[in-house]
Amino acid sequence: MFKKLRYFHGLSETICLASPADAHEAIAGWQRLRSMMTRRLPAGFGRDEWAYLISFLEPKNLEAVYAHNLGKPVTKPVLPLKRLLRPRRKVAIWLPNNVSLLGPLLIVLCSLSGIAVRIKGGSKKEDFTGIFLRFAKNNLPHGRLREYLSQKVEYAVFPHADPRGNDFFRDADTGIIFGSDEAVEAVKDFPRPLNFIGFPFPDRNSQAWLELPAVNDGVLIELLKVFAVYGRAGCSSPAKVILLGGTMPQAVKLQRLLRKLWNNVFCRLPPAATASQNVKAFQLAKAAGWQPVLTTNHASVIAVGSISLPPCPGEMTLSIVPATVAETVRHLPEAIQTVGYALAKPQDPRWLELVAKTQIKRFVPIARMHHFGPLWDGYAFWRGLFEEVELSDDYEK
Amino acid sequence: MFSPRGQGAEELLTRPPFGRRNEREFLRLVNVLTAHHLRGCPEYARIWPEAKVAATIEEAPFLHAEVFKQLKLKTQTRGIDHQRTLRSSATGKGDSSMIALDSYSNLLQSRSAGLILAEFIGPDRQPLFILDNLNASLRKDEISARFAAAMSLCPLSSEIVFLLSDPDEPLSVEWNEFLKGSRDHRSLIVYGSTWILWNAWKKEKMPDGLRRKLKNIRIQFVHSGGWKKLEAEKVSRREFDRRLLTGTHPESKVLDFYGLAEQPGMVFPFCRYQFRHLPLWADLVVRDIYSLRPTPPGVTGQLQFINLLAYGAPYHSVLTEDLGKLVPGRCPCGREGKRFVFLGRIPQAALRGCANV
Repeated sequence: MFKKLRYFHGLSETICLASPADAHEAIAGWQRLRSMMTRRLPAGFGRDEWAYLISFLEPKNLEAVYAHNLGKPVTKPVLPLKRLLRPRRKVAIWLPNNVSLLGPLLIVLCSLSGIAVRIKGGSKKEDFTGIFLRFAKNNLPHGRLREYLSQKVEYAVFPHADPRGNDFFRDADTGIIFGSDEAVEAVKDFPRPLNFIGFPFPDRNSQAWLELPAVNDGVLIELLKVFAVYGRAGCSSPAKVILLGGTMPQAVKLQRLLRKLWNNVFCRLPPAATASQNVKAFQLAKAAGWQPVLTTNHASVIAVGSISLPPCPGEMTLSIVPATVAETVRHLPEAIQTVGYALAKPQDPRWLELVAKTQIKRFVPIARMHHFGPLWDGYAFWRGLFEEVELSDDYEK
Repeated sequence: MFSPRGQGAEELLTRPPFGRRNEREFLRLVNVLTAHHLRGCPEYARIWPEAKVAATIEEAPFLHAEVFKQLKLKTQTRGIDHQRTLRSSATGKGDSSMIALDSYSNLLQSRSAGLILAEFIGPDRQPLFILDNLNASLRKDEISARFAAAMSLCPLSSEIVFLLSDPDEPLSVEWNEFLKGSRDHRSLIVYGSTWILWNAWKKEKMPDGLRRKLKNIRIQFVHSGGWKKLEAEKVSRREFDRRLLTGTHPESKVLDFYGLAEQPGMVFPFCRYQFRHLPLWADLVVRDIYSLRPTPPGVTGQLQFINLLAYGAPYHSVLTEDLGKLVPGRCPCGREGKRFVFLGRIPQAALRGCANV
């Protein structure tokens, strides 16, 4: 049963949210956990990931989830009340291997909707989901949030071919499926209710677009930071940097600058395996016709080449290609997700026209490449956790 | 026209493997081999466009071992006759190395393995029992690295018997074949990859007649390959050797050798002082992981192996993902030349993907 009705002002209507989760209780619960998180780091988590979670759980960030998806909270309807949202029955979330915070963040987001959740974690190595869930259940005081995590969140890890996979979506009316194209394809035929709605998030890749007049050290440091978080393992990481309207000598100059900045910005030694893999990537890039350089301590590879070359190998390889806008669009990968930009005039309507003609899902400044709003790959997934009820005009104020 | 014959390794392969050599001459031969690959392998030439004649062995260009997992490199020149591709078993990352073999290099590699192993187990030919399956190891145009490692012992064998009916099932040993093949012999060699040998050689699975007979046969066990699985099972080398030797002739022995799938023919057995020695036709550079600068003896780094046995593709100088160190001074075992210890693989680290929302 819902806890209480909440109202939000959308653009021209009031939206009523009937959620079993009391937003204030949920947010306060996470806030309590947050203060414990500042004192303890569970084994398995890295400092950076834990710090990111602590910051994500700030009340203002969680309040923003409602505001971005539903509008401004109000105490009673003022505009016409035309829509009631109530959580769907259950969401089943299929996580990929080898991701960091996706599971914990989804648990938090789902807790704000009150929907029941079933999660399958990556089977190749423990992702952070199980660790975070255990930490939260063990450390939260008795209350609504702990109750929600204990009673409404199921978490299991099993291999892809496990028979439990077949039943995973059977009683869920909502599904969120992450993974490689093959993994997403493989689960699409699992039994599911007729009213099931699914949000598939298969392989995606992203690019950064730069125009020379917009390039300065600050922009390049942002670019390196955005890249360094996940290398190319992140769907929103720039697999390629396009120097729009640039020439090869300008791209080489940019490469030198990026290498110098990398060496100044990142002083920590990478894992030994990363350093070794980067030597391999450096050699493979050369064999493929790229002009790569290794950064200090072999922490990454920065390569320059033509846009027509095959992708530059290496998880920590940032490749730069000079290209015209038309060439860039012609070579856009089909699975393009985010384009992070540093443009001379980002507000120029021609960019909007260009995005409209492509499959680009996100067009944001470089610094925001990893920071998703309410839209994930074009889906308003959080709002999709709710069933929308149309209300008659009688409810209009 | 390039003709590999007489380019150098052949003369070295007529001598005892561990002794003194002319270092300048060795370096010259490495440079000749590098030039040969630069001419005949376009990818290699693109990777090392700035390569010049190395003034020291540390300057010799190398390829990262995993480059062979992505590229099937071939050096194409007249006089090189490519044959099968050697494929390593897939690693945790799911891929395997592809080494283009050629008939001349095969000859050198076989001679190399024979000479080195003869130093440790004696030159006499004996029956060789291999814990593998011939059919599974030889596919059209390909041979497995596991099979190639077993074949290192070929020059020391009088006959070869394959013992597994299922190559992936160590318990599928056909003991009757062993019994039959060993009938008229007092000494023989048994080879298996480390994990298979440990799991296959179980006395309780042997027929009674064979168990009784074992104490009269001098068995030279030889194994190679990783210890990772056995470490996970908490099996020590001492326990490994003890289990194999129990119930056999008192002169039976166990020999463990290390080698790279990317460098067939090069085997590095443990000497009795637990060191591994470089033969005349090979060298080792240990490099700092983060700078690739050579490290002095005694300092751990990434191992780069160089040899004179690779003509069909540029696998004569390979930077491995293995860690080890050179050991200074002369080995009490009496072997001359460089010696080293192998310390295991570089610990793997996987990059995690996205999820900042």
